[in-house]
This record gives sequence, C-alpha cells and structure tokens, in this order.
Amino acid sequence: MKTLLFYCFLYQLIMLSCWQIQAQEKTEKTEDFKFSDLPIEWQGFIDSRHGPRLQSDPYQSNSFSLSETRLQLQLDHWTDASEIKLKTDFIYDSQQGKFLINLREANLFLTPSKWFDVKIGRQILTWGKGDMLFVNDLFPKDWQSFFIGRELEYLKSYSDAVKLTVYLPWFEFNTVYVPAFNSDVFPTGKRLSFFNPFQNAFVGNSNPINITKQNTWFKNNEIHWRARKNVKGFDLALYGYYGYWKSPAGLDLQNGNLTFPKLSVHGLSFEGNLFKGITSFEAGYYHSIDDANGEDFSVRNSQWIFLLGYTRDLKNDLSFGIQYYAEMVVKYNNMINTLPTGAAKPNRLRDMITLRLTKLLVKQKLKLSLFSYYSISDNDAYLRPNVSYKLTDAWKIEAGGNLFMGENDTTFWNQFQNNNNIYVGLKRSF
Amino acid sequence: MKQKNKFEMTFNKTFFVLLFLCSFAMQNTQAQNVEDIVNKANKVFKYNGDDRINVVNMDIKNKNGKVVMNRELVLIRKNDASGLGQKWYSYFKKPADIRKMVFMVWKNTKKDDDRWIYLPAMDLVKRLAGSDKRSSFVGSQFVYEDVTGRLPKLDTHELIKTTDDYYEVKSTPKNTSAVEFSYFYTWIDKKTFVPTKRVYYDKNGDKQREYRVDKVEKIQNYDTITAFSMTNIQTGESTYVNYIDIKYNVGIPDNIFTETYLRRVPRKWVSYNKK
Repeated sequence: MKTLLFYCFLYQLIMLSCWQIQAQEKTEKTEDFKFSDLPIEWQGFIDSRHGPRLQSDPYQSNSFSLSETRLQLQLDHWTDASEIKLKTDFIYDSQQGKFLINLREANLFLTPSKWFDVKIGRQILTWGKGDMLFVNDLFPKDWQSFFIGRELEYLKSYSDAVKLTVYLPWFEFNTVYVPAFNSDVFPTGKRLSFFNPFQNAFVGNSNPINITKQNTWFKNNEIHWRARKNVKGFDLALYGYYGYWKSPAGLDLQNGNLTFPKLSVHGLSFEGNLFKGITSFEAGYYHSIDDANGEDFSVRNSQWIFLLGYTRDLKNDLSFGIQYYAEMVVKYNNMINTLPTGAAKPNRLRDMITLRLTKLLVKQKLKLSLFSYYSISDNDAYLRPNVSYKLTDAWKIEAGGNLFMGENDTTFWNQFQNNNNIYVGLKRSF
Repeated sequence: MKQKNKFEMTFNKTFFVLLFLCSFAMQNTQAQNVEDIVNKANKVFKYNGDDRINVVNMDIKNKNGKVVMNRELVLIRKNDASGLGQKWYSYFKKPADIRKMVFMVWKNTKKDDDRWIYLPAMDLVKRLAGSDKRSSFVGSQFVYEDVTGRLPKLDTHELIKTTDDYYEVKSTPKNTSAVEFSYFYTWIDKKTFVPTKRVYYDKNGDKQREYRVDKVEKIQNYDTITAFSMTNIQTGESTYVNYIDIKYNVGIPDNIFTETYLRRVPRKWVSYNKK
C-alpha cells in the first residue's frame, strides 16, 4: 500500500511538472491560455449506493451487503505515442465502517510503432466472447462486487501486468505477463455467505475461509496470450493461459486453507454477424496441472468449457441475448472413484442458459434490463434485474437486485441465497 | 388520292412510332434523371472526399426548445476504394458517462453493417447487431442510419417536382418492415445537389420527422453541410447538430477502423484539432 501511494505521489509530481512545462510553452506562444488546452484530461464520478439483504442471513451480522459512497477520479496525459492513465477510487464504505483508497488503473501505454505497443502497470484487461461468463478471459473478476450490486465496471478487477501487442501482417498477437498472481475477488464469508464444499458447511463473517496467499513476485506469475484475426468481419482468436485457478480450487490438507492450484488453459473463439444478430462461440480446455489425472479430491479437476451465444437487436430499442454454457469434467470416473466417503457426488456436466433482455424507453433515458442465469444441471438460478434512469446527462438513478434461487442449498447459485439483495444508487458523472 | 392516303398512313404510322419511341425515351431519361439526382445527392451528402474528420456537437432539445442533453464526438469517415461501402469511427467526448467510448461501423452494401462498441472502463469490445439501424442514436432525434447514411438502393425514387432551385424527390422503402416510416420527401439543391430538407411520413401520411439543413459551406471545394437539425414533428423535440473543424482528405489510414484501434485510440486523429 505504501509503495502504491508513493507511486501515486510520484506520478502526480510528474503530471504536475508536465502541466507546468506545457502551460509555460503555451503562454509563451499565445497569450490566451486555456485550461482545456492542457494535454490532460480528467473525469470521474461520485456514486452512492446501498443494498440491504432481503432476508436475515444467519451467517452475517450486517443486514446490508452494500453501503458505500465513492469518488472516482481519472487523469490522462497523452502524446501521439504514449498515454499515462491514473484512475483512483476514494471510498467510504459504511458497511465495513472504513475509508478506502483503491487504485484501479495506473499505467503507461506506449505506442511507438504501428508494429507493436506495450502497456505497463495496473490495468483492466478483458477478452473473450462471453457476456458475464468467461472462458478464455482469465483476468481477475470481482464476483463480490457483481453479487452485491456495484456498477458493472467493477466486475473486472485489475491486473498488475505488462501487456505487449505485436501487429503482424496476418494477425495480432497479445501477451500479458503478470509477475505476481492476481486472483479473482471472490466471496470469503466476510460480506457474503456461501457453501464451502471442503468444510461441508456454510461460511459467514464469523468463520471466513482462510486462503494461502500465492503472490510472490516472479515466482507465482501468470502468462496470458491471444492471437486474433478479423476475416471479412468475423473475429477469430486462439488463447492460452499459464498460471493458477483464479478462485480457490484446492485445499491444503496440512492447514485446511484454500489454495489456487496451477492451471493452464487453451481455447479458441469465433464471432460474427450471422442470422441477423451476433453469433459467437468459445471453447476452452482447463488443464488442472496439479491434478492431471483427476485423482486428487483436494484439487479441482480438468474440464472443458463451451459457450455459444447469440444477441440481437429487435425494433424499438429492445435487445436480447441468449447463451448456452457448459463445463464438463474430463476425468470424471477418476474423480468419482477418489471422492472422500460421504462427499456429495458432483455431476459430470454443469450447464447453464443465460438470457439478457434490455429495453430503452423515454429517449433512451430509462433502461430496463434483466440478466438471468439458469443452470439446467443444478436447477438453480441467479437473476439480475436493473432499472436506471438518466435524470440529466450527469445524474443517474438506479435500482436493482441480485436474486439467487434453487432446489438444493449447495449448488453454485443457490449457495448464495442468503445474500439476496436489492440496491439503490445515485451517480453524478463529471 | 390513293397515293396520298398511303403516304398519310405511312406518315401517321411513322409519326406514332416516333412519338412512342420519344415518349419511351423521355420516360427513360426521367427515370435515369431521378436515379442520377439521388445518387449525386447521396455522394454530396455522405461521400465527399476520400475521407473526412470533424467534431460533432449535438444539442438535444425538448419540445420547448430547451437544450436538455449535449453530445460531443469526433467523427472519422473513410470511403472504401470502390462502391458505397464506408468505415466510420466515432470517439465520444461528452457526456461524461460515455466519455472515451468508441463506436465503429463498417457500412456494408451487400450485407448487414458490422458495428462495434468499446467501453474503456471494462476494456470491453462488444459487437452490436447491425440489423437494427432505425433506433435512436445516443438519445437524439437521429437514428443510426441518419448518421452513416441510407443507401439509395433501399428505396424507389420518384421525381415529384422540379422548381427553379430544387428537385423534389419522393422515396419509398422497398422493405417497409425494416423501417418506421412509409416514405420520405427530399429537397435537393439543383446547383450543389445538397439535400437541404427531408420529411419522413408515417403510414397515415402524417409528418413524422423533419430534417433541415441550416448551413452549407464550401470546405476544400466540397459543398459541406455544417449545421443541420432533425425535429420530431409529432412530439416537438429536436436535435441540432454542428460539424466543426471539418477536414477532408487527411489520409486516414485503413487500420484505425479495426478492433485494435478501439483500444489503442488513434490520438493523432482523435485530437487532430487540438494542435
């Protein structure tokens, strides 16, 4: 944290000196100096949102899962061949009773040549074709923010990384090197309760899970790559990843901590304008390196993941999107044969359908949307209704919910049922 | 006498054949004319130069004429080497909540357009279905197709009137289910071929929307519309647009119209007017 603050300070010093130099140059050339002429852009917002649980949660003491006000400030300085970006969130989190500073992005983007570019520092990274489902995007996600009703941009957490892109005549190649593993932000029990299969019990803020940190620089590193090409309007890509499972997928039998076992992923995707809409396909093979044969019950097994998607705009600002998603355990028999006695027998296939409906009304100021996940194999669901209204260009009010339901208490979505919540928010952008 | 009759008959026959041929030819030239007029106007309207870059300032007004929303974007357009295909790149500067968003269109003549949107906060490139071009463009009175231009081949055109200054053309869509209007009239300036006014009618024959050019300037020898508006006649709401800092033939490279440059914003072009 200290180093971060130091870098922030250093950066701001550099920005300030840039400002002065530029300002001097400008004033020397012309008398009428204008603030807007500076090569610095700044923007941000203030957002306050609050979300109570819809039911009392026996595993949580706080009846709100979300209650916070944040100020986001973003500064950009750029030239033709470089860009510096700094995005910081200042948060008063009344749910936790804490003031926090969260550096979301702090990076230097160099574009010295049309053949390559490089982005160094804290950055948000996204690729792949899923809509709120990820196959080959192994960049960190903040599921906790997603489940409690923060703005959607917070679903993507940051990576401290170097991203190099090389533009070859026949395709584009991206490599991302992360020197110290960045995991997902997942529920730990502190704010959201869930079912921990390793303990065979629900976890809440009185008994949060313990995790073995694996973020030693240059030891616990991750590498992502992608080769991408557009062929006549169709996007084709190949992907690779070598690192760790992004959410805990292993159990340390020595101390009972949850761990992030080694993982490699290889996959591909396709997307294009087909059947009057956007049709996409993505597949990935998750190779669980620490349990290649699938015989170690304390490490998640290797699996195939498939995703098929279709989105379409109908008339009158109505659009819908549908996806089919399937995870399939590769060595299912080995997994079943080595389960500890008494453990529930998992399915080989976990599959899901998602449906997105969005309708814009009142000059596109009112937005009604519903995103729903329904798992066919688990018979559980997660619904995300949301209504937002833009009072003006600057002001927006919003309300929504996160509703988990299902048949069995321990299935993926239904394990979060005690966290069902609704939230309201007010945002001012500037 | 008989001889004369025969002559008269031959003459009459020839005369009628000629008349028929003439009228056919006239019809043909008229048909030719209206297509020519529409095509010329379309070129002047959306295809001037090989490429163009400008800032768009858009005021969205309520029925009382009060500005309720404002949009500002940099619009970059490049014509395909041949045909009516184009590539469009728009970089939003206002309002604040969509600042730095990029919207890109490949206008295709033989299939649906390809459209992309880039949301920088999530580093997310999203493809949008190209089939619905008739929904509002960022909450304004314009629809997406008004921005990139409607291909003339989608309508049948009829020259209704020729006045001293204008050609008045009626255009009826070939596929009525794809659009919200029944037909539209366009007033095309006879000298410059600038479409200076266009009125859309609904299925009851009532006026729906009215497009009006407020200012035309000669820029690098191209007749350029620099101020225009669209009014929803039925609600009274309107959108006023100014094109600022217009530059033609600046040599926009093809590669900026790719997914790569949604993320790697081409600063040189997006901030072309800041130097």
